[in-house]
Amino acid sequence: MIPLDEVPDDWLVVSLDGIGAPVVGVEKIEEGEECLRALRALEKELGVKVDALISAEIGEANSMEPMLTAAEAGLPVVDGDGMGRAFPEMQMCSWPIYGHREAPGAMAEEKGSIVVIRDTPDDVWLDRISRSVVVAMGAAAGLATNPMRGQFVKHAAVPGTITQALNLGRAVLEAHATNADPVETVIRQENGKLLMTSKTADLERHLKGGFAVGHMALEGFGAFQGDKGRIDLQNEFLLFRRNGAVEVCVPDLIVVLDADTGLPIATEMLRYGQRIAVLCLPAHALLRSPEALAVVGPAAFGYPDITFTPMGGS
Amino acid sequence: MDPITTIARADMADVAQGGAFLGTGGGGAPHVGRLMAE
Repeated sequence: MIPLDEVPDDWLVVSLDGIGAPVVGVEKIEEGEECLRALRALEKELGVKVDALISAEIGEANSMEPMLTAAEAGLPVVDGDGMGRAFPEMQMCSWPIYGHREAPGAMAEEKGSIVVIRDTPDDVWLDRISRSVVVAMGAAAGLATNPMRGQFVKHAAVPGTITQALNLGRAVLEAHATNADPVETVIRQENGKLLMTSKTADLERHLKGGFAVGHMALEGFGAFQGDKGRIDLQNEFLLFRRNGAVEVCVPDLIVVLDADTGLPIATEMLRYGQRIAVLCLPAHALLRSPEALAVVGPAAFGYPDITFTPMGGS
Repeated sequence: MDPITTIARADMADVAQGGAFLGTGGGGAPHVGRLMAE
């Protein structure tokens, strides 16, 4: 792994991630070289070799994809990513937000199909075309995009997020080993805030256009007895409302944990009746700028009347 | 100082766990990728 500020300016860095519906990924296990084949296809399209890999998003499965492919290809992975969390669409990454074109891109799936997208009118179209392709590929594929120079990556990437994930994961696993409170550990480690402890009273979730979309209704317990909560989701959690009023929204991160174990619960693992702890963690400053909010703020997810107000921390 | 730091096999569980928190909600579980990377 190479620290972000140590990446040579002239290095060619490619953004890697898996694309598809998380719900499908539970049952359709990846073959393991999807991103490697996408990387090789992109190199063939460009006619050059790539120097390093970076994650489009540090959250969930895509925290692993660049490291898996880096190990397979013998390349370094950069300590940073394009979101500092996870978002559902490709243009919601700091590379296009700060001026880099995502195309060309290459996609590959486990059966051997490879699709190269040479160019698109804009980055939203790259996401649309990729979504159509990934549906044909069985809703899960590897994706290589954004051939970027190191000079750009150094100012556009959220820095240090692999190290952040490593330290957070280590702290939580240590909390489990020592019977410490894992929820409190996450809040302390990430300057987060506990929004609610609650029971999932209703859950509406379906697949739409390759995304898991819906909402969950929450009934507070403990210190939050009597509160009614609601979380809207599109793969990731978008909004948290308490008693009808929006308290937290994208790009700040809404985290749903099992209230007893402190382990995170992915969208596809949400169930009626679960006892959960809802936290929020602050987004990196790169995602709170006006140009970023135009792409990852509430209006970008269909909430034009909601204004982003940064969470204040604990 | 060599700027490239090695992520060891023993670190993968920590990174995967941390990634699960930072991506809670969507993005699929990191544990299959972790096992493959290991």
